[in-house]
Amino acid sequence: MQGSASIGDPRDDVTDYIRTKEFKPNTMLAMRELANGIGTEMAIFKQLSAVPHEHVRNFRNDMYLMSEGIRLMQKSKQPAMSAADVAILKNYKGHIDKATRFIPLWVKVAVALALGLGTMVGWKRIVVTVGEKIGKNHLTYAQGAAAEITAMATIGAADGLGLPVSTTHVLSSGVAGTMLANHSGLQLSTVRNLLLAWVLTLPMAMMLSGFLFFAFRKLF
Amino acid sequence: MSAATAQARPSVAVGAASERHTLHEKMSKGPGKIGMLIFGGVLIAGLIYIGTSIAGDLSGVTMSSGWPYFLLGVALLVALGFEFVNGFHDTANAVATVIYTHSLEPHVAVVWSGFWNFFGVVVSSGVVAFGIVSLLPVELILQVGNSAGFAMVFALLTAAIIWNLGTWWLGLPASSSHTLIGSIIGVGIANQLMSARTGTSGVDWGQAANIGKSLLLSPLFGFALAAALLLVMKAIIKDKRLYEAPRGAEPPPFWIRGLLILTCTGVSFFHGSNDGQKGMGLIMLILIGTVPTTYP
Repeated sequence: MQGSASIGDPRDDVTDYIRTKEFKPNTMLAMRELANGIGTEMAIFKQLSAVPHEHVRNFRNDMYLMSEGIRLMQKSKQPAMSAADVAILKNYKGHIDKATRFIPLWVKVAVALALGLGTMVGWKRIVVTVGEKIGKNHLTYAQGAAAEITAMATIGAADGLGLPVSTTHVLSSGVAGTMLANHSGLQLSTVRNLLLAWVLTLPMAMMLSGFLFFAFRKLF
Repeated sequence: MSAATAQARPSVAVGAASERHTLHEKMSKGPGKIGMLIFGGVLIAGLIYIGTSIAGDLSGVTMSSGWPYFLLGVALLVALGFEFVNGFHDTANAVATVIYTHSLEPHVAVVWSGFWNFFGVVVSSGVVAFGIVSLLPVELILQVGNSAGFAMVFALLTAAIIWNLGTWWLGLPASSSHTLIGSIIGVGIANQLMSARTGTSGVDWGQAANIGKSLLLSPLFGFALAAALLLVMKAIIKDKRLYEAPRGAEPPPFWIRGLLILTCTGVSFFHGSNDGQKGMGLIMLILIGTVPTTYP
């Protein structure tokens, strides 16, 4: 053990690191300890499915903590590492994630069905707003094309450049933009409601879920 | 304004009104027998597949009581309910332009978009799904199998469903991702306040800042780019039909119709492979929490 760095349960230390995002002297030690633990278990059991049932959750949690810890170190570039070390860590994280971040096909199918079903049930309200209530005149062919091309281009650019844009916002605004460029005029009440809803989404969702979490914790 | 154009105006307005009428008639029509049959078939096949997969996965598990199964069932229903309401909003956006330009019949457009969303979700890697999970307070993720973990999952999904349903009811297209991230931050703050720890360490404020940026950027981007694109089109493409409101149910010229359908397809696919999977991470969290031995 080195210097002032002392170590308790490595799990607690790494959890602390992930929560506070502060790299402390003992973080590296804790990470190493955690990795050793994972390595030992892996050497014994060879694969995740062979790990005893009562053990699985702990083991999984260790791997999750490890992966998140590495992710933070990669992001903050702290501590400074050589290129070779960075590559090793990346490879290690890749292996852990392959074991823990797996999504069975039936989950994807279920999600896709729910999404599709939702569209088929609820599409009309939103479609009517975008198609009729943003501008004062009917959408022309060229306007539709301009708005939709913009939306698709922005999704592509957002993925590539890491821009935080929302397709919903881009498309509705795109329709509004073409209305203005076309001298068609905007229905200001709709535009105002849209902007209000967009701005309120974050605080309202925060308050709702915060309150619900509080209520659920008190109830159960 | 010349006399000719002044005279032309009213007839265009009447034409637009009747066109809107036929459009509404089309939209309120049911999808038809064949459509319902195909759709019902896909749904039933999907449900059978999901059911047998879950049954197969759980067959080796023995639990002391039925309670975990009950929790698992409810949590899965709520998570899928979130995706269901998500579909009300986001995909609907993608089909608005093809429907209002008569490029596709409304019901065909909706099914088409639904299919590409489906495809997008199925081929997605899950990176975004787990990205969402890592925004949650780490101590709640580690103990997702107990009551605090369940309270977290239920609270944030329910909150997101409520807000999305409300905005949908008012016909306002809002961003489901913003709603979900807002809910996650809300849970983080509540968790912070309820535990003795000080500061705001459990909350990823960087995400809130990102949404703030998005709130500024997206409308500006969309507005300016689409407006500019329309002006460029007007300058380059001289086909007059493009810049008039559709007459009757007449579809646009072939190439622009193709372009509209193609972009609608692209938006639907990308939505499925990106936003569409955001609920998946939470479903995995639920599965891992309730039956850790089956979904390790």
